[in-house]
Amino acid sequence: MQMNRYLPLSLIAAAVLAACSTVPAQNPTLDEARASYSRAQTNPDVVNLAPVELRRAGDSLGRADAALNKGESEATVNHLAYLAKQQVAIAEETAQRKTAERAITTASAQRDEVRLAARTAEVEASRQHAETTRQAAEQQAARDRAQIEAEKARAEETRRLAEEQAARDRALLA
Amino acid sequence: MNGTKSLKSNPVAQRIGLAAIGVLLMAGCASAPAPTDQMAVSRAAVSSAMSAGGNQFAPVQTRSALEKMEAAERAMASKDYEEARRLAEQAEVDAKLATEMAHSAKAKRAAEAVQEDTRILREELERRAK
Repeated sequence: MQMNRYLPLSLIAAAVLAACSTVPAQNPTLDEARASYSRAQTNPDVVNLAPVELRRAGDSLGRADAALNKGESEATVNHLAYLAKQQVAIAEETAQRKTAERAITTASAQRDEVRLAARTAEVEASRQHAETTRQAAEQQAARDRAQIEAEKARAEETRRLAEEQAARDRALLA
Repeated sequence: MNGTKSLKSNPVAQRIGLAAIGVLLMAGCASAPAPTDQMAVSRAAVSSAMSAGGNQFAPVQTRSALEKMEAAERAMASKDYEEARRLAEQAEVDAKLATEMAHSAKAKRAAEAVQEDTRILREELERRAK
């Protein structure tokens, strides 16, 4: 009789224990941490630019999983899961910072290139200006020379005509 | 039988027993020692976050770090060392996240500024070329 009284109780206890062993332990904070960790793992920027931070997050996640499986207190599991979740966020921010730093390097190089191009263009413009001025001066000089030549020729012609006139005058007088 | 009798009546043995219990109690306390190092690490992390501009760039995380740090100090004062360690560890990750957010926000701003500079310079060049 006494045994029969305890039998249902032990059955219930056995059922409770069985339930505990078959249903995987659950913790919402840990689920959240796992989800954000797998999201970070599929982000190539995080994987490549923040491997140390991501590994740290993975280690914390492992500790949280272990605590859950060992049946440690919910507070402990929550705490470790929280650390893991924040470390995933740190890894993601680190990746973003490094991406931005790379962008700064690239953009600075581009800006320097554009500046150099601007300076080169300025130098070329002033060279062309100097060349134009020089050509104009040369043309002016050539025109001046031609004018001088023409005037010389005219003077020569005048002198020749005057000489011819003088010769004719002398012939008439003779 | 004779041994137990003598132990009960022997004051020296009683004292040894009490001392042994005391040692065990102290050992028990030692399993949750004061997280002095963690507190120092967390305080440093929180002040780094503040000087990195956490208040401006990551107000939620910075506030969380500050509040947890204060709670950790209170737990330390009331000798609740396990709670103090947890709060300090959370304050540390919150502060580190705030610091990293501030750094990445500043780097993004700087990148945008340089890109804008380049764009303006290009436009200026094109206008001059016309």
